[in-house]
Amino acid sequence: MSVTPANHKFATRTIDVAEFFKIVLLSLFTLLWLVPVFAAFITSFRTMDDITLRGFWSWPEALSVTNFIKAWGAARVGKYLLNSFIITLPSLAGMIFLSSLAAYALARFRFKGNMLVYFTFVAGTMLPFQILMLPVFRLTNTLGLYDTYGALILIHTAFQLGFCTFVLRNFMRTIPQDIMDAARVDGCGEFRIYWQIVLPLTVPSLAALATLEFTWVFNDYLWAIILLRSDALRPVTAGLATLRGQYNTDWPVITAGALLATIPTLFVFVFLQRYFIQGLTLGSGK
Amino acid sequence: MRDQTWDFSLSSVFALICVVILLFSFLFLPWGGTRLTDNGARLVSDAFSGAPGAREVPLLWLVPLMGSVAVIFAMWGALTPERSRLATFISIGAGIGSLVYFITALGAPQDPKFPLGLGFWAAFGASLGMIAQFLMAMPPVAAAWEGFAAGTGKVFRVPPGLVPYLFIAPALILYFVWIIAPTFYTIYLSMTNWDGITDPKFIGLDNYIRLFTKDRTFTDSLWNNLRWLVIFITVPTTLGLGMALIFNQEMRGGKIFKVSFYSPLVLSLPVIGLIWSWVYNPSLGLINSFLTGIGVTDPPGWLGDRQLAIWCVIAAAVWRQVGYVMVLYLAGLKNIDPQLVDAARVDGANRWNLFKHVIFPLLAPVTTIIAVISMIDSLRAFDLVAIMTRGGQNTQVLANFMYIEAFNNYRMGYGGAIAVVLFAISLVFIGFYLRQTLKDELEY
Repeated sequence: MSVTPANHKFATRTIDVAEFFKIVLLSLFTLLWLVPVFAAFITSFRTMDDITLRGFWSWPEALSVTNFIKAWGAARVGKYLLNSFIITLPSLAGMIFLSSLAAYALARFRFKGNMLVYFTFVAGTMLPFQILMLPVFRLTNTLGLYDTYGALILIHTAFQLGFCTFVLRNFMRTIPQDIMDAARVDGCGEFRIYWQIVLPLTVPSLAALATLEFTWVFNDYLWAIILLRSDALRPVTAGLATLRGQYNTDWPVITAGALLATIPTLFVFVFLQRYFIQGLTLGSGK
Repeated sequence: MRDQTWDFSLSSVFALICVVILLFSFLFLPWGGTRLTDNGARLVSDAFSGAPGAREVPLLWLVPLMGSVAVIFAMWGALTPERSRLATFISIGAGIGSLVYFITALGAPQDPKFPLGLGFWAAFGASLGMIAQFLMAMPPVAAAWEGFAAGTGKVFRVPPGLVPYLFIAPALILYFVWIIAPTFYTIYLSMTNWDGITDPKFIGLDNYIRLFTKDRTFTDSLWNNLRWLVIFITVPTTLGLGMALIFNQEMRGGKIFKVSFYSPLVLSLPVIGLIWSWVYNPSLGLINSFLTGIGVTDPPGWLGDRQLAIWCVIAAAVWRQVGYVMVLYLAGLKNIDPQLVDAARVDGANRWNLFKHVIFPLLAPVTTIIAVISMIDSLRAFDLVAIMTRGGQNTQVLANFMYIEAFNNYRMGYGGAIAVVLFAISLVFIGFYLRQTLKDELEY
């Protein structure tokens, strides 16, 4: 087992060289991978005239933040972002609350239809949106909800219920039943067990789920263009499409808008990354 | 002792109910006016951004602000009973804060065109309730409530068999109305000539017959979806697996590389579409200005080229998907028992054999899930096509084709038929996925 000093030194040195090359290659590949993002970033600080005249790969004549100001104000990205939050946060609260209730029942009780309900929720997560579009459009019209935040909040809440229930139910099954039974014996009602015992234990899973769902709902584009007509209500994803039509060839403004639109999810990614990654693996692993 | 202490746990729950009513009324119910489109959220966001036709609603922003504060603290109080006193004081404060708005609004001259709506009054009541919650915490009330609860507990006892259904009902009803019933309703709509305005008329299988026999765009879309699918289950999977294998080892800067590869995941698809449209721009874009820079005289038109366009869109989609696959494989690799790998090493397996005979078979469940997710995602593909080409340049896919037929051409019945075809194809994968889940369930 013992390694002679000379051998040892030799071994580490070769590993260092190999690792050095690996890191150089990976760095190059990573840079290449992120080139589209860098390109957008650089473009957003330039002017279209500068790019047209001197070409994309030239040294920029001047850098300025006017594109961002234009995108935020004149192109209304600020307003669209506000709309995104108004739609996303209530949806998130609604889906987490309702699905945790359902998940609690599915995980704790044996009752008729348990598996059927569970599989209905699982199957629904995979549905293509197109199969729902027409009836949901019609339903929102009938209810007078068409062109309101409420329509989007309801459909997001409802659609994500499937995935949330699936994840939470599987997590809640890992909580020992003994804890709940003990509380039950002490005279605790079922709702109280759910609220004060199970829910606090589910917090790690809830955090991951909420982080993931935030990015999903925030990034939705399809429902926003189906259920809204007023520009004033559009979330930022649909707003960007409008912006693109408006500033047809003014790419610096478009890329500036796109980057501004990314700030909230980027924030989530930077500060809640652990939960985001956990969230991504929630559905796939047991 | 108990009947002399203040009990804040009940008041926190009460405050939580009040604030949920407050926020719900603000978001969903008519506030100034009678239509649902005149809800409080819209009024305040229009006024905030100075949208055309925005009305003056002084101080209305207090309602969502105070509501959000109160909902957080009331929940905190209800979940941690030992903190509920502080939570109660804070949510009472929030109630007073929103009351400032209600008093101003009631004192201001009323606009006869927009009478104060149901939502306003419900929220007004809810904010009064938030302030009145301290009554709930007073010793006599708390004691009385306890006696009352014990009394009703004996009279109205929920039968134990009903309890699980009560927990499931809210979610299931919502799910049924918005997801399950619409799925079946689309099948009916696909056999009608609905145009979105008049009532649908039943026309049998005409839509399907036209779809399968006359519509070239439909076959083109099918082909494009197939291309998407083939690329999606091969390229991101191998690339993602390769990267996961590389990054699974300890390495200097490994974290930075990892983060770089999955960072595209947080970008929304419209943002990705816009960024890549700029990259592909035929005259000024990143690629072509580079190509002309190194002396290529006739660079391809990318998104403008009928042959290339669909591959360009798929490339953008792959760019995003690779990180996702990598994350899933990394999680899978973490779950592999290192002893198995060590045992194979001791037996003299080289790297390739180790991968082929030990690691890859152990990753099989992850691979299956990734394959299913990729297939479903490739059928759902919509946003990128809608943003980058709007389905032009021979890039039409079923999802976007359905959207165009239904919402641009107002052939809703026909669009429904496309949706049903898409659904039928997805059903194969959904069934596969369900079988997998069922197998897990039986093993459990």
